[in-house]
Amino acid sequence: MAETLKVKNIMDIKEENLIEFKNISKTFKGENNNNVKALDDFSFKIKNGEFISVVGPSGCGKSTILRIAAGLLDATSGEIFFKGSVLESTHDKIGMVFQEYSLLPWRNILDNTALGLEFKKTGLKKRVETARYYLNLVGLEGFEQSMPHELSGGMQQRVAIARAMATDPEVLLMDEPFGALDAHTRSLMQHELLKIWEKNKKTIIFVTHSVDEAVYLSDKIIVMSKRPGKIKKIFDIDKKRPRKRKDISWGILTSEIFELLQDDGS
Amino acid sequence: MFKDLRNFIFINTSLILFIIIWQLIALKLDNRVILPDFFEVWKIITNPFEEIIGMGSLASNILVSFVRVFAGYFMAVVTAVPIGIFMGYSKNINRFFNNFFNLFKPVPPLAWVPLVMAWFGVSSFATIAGLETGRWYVYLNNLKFSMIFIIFIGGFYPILTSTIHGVRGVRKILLDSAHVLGASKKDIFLKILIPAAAPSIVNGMRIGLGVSWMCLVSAEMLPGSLSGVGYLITHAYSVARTDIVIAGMISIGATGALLDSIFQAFERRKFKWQKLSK
Repeated sequence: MAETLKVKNIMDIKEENLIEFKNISKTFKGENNNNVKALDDFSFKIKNGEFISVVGPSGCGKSTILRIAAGLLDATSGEIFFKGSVLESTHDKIGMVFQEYSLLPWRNILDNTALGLEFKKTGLKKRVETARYYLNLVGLEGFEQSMPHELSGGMQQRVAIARAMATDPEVLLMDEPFGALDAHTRSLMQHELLKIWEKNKKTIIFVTHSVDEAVYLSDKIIVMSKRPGKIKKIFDIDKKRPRKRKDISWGILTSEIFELLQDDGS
Repeated sequence: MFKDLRNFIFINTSLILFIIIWQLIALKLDNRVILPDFFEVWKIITNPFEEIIGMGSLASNILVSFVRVFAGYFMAVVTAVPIGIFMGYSKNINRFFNNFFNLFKPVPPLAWVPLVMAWFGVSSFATIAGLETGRWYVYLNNLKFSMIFIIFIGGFYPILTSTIHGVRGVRKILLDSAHVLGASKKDIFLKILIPAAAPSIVNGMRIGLGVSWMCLVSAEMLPGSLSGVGYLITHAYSVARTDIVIAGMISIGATGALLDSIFQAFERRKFKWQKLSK
């Protein structure tokens, strides 16, 4: 009896929730007791290999969710479970890509990509090998010796993705990674991200302003209300990829999400 | 080639004009004590190894000053850089030290002289080494604690301020991304904070060296000093050798400028990324 229970538990963890947010709230303390409640009772379960997007108006706490999951911020209340155990600080199986350019400007692309491996004290040979592999994956072979300032914004974000993936995380948190890119580069990057994701099936939590981007990429879309951020609705998208913007279902889904967001007057 | 020459003439025109006016006035005044001939001064500068007024050569006096500066400046670097890094990194460490350092910051290094003389008197490295005669005594006795302390104070504050500023200016996103990638505290310091703040730290070191150099020359002009360019100038003044005074001043300026340009060349080469990645 006990035996089967245990097996079931492991199955739970594997199949059910790789990561679980449980009643997460976050209040930022301001001066003179001007506290701002950014996130209110956020609960959500994510399965292994899922691509989840979070959309919502500015200040709805969507980046806060990622920062808490990354271990950069403490929740005021609530807990995050990763593979069944409580997540307390940064975790080497959770990686993150930021909106701002975050490469070290004094290091070349190869050394930037290998940064996380360097922190993990991986040997030099393995480091270079792994970094090269991921640079190839994001289409940047031949740029190993370039410096970040020599690369365009889109290329820098590719390096940031390669850098995050090089440490082989199971969950990749992406905080508006394409937010600073022009429309054309952005759609190219979305396409490439899907290709990479289909290849190695990491679990991705993707925060974005763009409904279009969320619909193009995700398995599920979490729509947030304005501050204090609460989950308003969760959309399950079972449509096969690549999704076509000309499809009727695309239009219906997009406009439904838009209407939800507009209810908030934002 | 022609273009190089034209460029050279252009950037030095102000200097050449200055020398011409100087020479004209000197010829008109015809008084060596008030304003000597440019060529008299030039002769001293171009023969730096010649013995002058029984004080050794110009070069040897510059060397003495130089070694003093490095002793004091080195101490300023090894204290100000680490303290600055910690003050820039931690709000609490900063709050702990801030008032203390700010209180002494506006005090001109030379205002320390009376106190420093009372503390250290004429003791020098030779005093610690227990030497009272001999060749090494002469060398080490030139490194007086009082002077080194003043040089140290002069260099300390520019380096400290720039280091704090540099560490504070490190973009938060670089620290955040390093944390998520699994950086330890040591990694954060050695691989993120210090390289990111390095341009600012080195800039502070450059300014600090300039200030140290200026403080030194002034310190050497004070009583108790027996060598160095500063002393050479005061001594030459007392024997009415204005040509040596001016030659000394020019060598102080030239040495300072040389040190500064070495630093600048280093900054240009090493920190190219900083300008380009704005």
